[in-house]
Amino acid sequence: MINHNISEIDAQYVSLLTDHALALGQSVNLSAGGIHLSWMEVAIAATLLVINMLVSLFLQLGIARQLITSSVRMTIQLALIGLVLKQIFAIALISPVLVLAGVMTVIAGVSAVRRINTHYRTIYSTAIFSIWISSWIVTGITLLAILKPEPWYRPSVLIPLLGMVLGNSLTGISLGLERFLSEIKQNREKIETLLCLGATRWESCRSSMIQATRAAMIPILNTMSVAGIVSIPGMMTGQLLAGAEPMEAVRYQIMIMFVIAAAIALGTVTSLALAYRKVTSTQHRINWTELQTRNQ
Amino acid sequence: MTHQTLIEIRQITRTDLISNRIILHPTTLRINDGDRIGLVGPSGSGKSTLLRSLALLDPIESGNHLFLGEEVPSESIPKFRRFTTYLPQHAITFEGTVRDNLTLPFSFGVTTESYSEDGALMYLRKFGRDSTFLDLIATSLSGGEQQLMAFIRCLLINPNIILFDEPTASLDSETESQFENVLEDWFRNEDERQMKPRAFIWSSHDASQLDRLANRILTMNEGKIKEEGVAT
Repeated sequence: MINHNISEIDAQYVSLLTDHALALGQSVNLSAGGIHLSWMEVAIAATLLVINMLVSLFLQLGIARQLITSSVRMTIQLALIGLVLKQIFAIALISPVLVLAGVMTVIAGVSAVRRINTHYRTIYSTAIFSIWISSWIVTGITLLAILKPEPWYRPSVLIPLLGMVLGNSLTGISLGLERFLSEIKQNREKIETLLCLGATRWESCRSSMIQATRAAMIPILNTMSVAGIVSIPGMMTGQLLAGAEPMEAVRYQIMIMFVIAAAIALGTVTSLALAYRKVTSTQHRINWTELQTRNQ
Repeated sequence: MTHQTLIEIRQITRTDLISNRIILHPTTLRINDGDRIGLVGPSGSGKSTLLRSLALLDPIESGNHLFLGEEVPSESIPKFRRFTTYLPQHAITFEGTVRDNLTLPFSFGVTTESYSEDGALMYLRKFGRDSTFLDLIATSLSGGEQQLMAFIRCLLINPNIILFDEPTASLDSETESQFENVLEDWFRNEDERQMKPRAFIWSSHDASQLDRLANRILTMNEGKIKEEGVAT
């Protein structure tokens, strides 16, 4: 199953966004409301894992070792990215910022494909290109027209913003491609019947494209519809924890929701258009041999 | 009297790209106006591959596919498939009523024609059904009824050539007989104001059925047309 939880992705960037708000000098006052977190306090939080361990042992789930491995891995990964970001923030030059942004984009593109069962040969380039185009365009507009940091590539703004956009875009692209390719594969006979009756390749695939676009947009639509009622979204949570004024945190959260929704829509449509061109032929048929199931 | 050649394939081949096995060896065939071609051969002999290649559903790896003496340009392939349609063994139904399924081919950009309820009713009566059949949910029909619906859907677009892939394999003998009678009416242009070119290929394992329907018999084996004969 593909992870739909947008708040989890947001949470990775909570501390960075706090940093961003501080960098902009806007309403964040750590001395007033922010609480400094030491490594000792993080260690105390880690002891909560005992609950998971006990559940695993009691129910004989057999995931105790996996829990420990995943926790250690997560801690090391985040600590390392923290060190990298600390250096890049300190240098504040455009080239390391763009290199890091590029690496993040490629990893997001590869991750988007990882959970798709039906593949075609160039699916990785489809995902990387789509996520690159959508995330960089939307992040660029946000930086240049909305947040306007000085300089525009200020790493404490660009990196966390791009990270949030990438995390959500990859989910949308992943869900969209998975649904589109599996719909095409499962509905082979229906699609061929439509073609035999005179449908163009677009007419025969339109239903699959619609299903796929809906599937990609559902998580952000759900998140937007329950934001503030069922859950306080990750970015807003981070700012509130850092002592931001609530309405300021709300404005940031609303802005980022619109940005994320636009990135998902753009990324999904781009990836589906590329996938459609790859799995269909200008001779109005499906390139069935292109479609391979993972591990086959 | 010479009949117009509708489709001609020259030295067409097909390879299964996954197993790299040749599934259609270089094949040459002409389908002329008035041809009633029976296609026989064991399972896996290449009958469906040949029919799919004729309908341009699979890529042409080598050789030529000509319709009325010319290769079909990519943009004209949907129109070509209104002239030459393929009816598979298992009928495919879409959501909605029988009427929704019958109107479907008229929603495509390739045609400016509109669905004729009278035409649909005429064919339904030939199968002993009335107008209530149009309001039934298509997916709830029996396999045989679904096949009738698929056949009527195919006839409503008024093709010149129909490629049948064992269409009556799942029908009872009475429905099979009705199916053949409707085919004869279509072939003889019984319901048309003007004579149109007509031809069909009927793939089947039933030799007696092909004797009834065909005037040419093609025997396929291991991806090759082994012999061509005249129906007795």
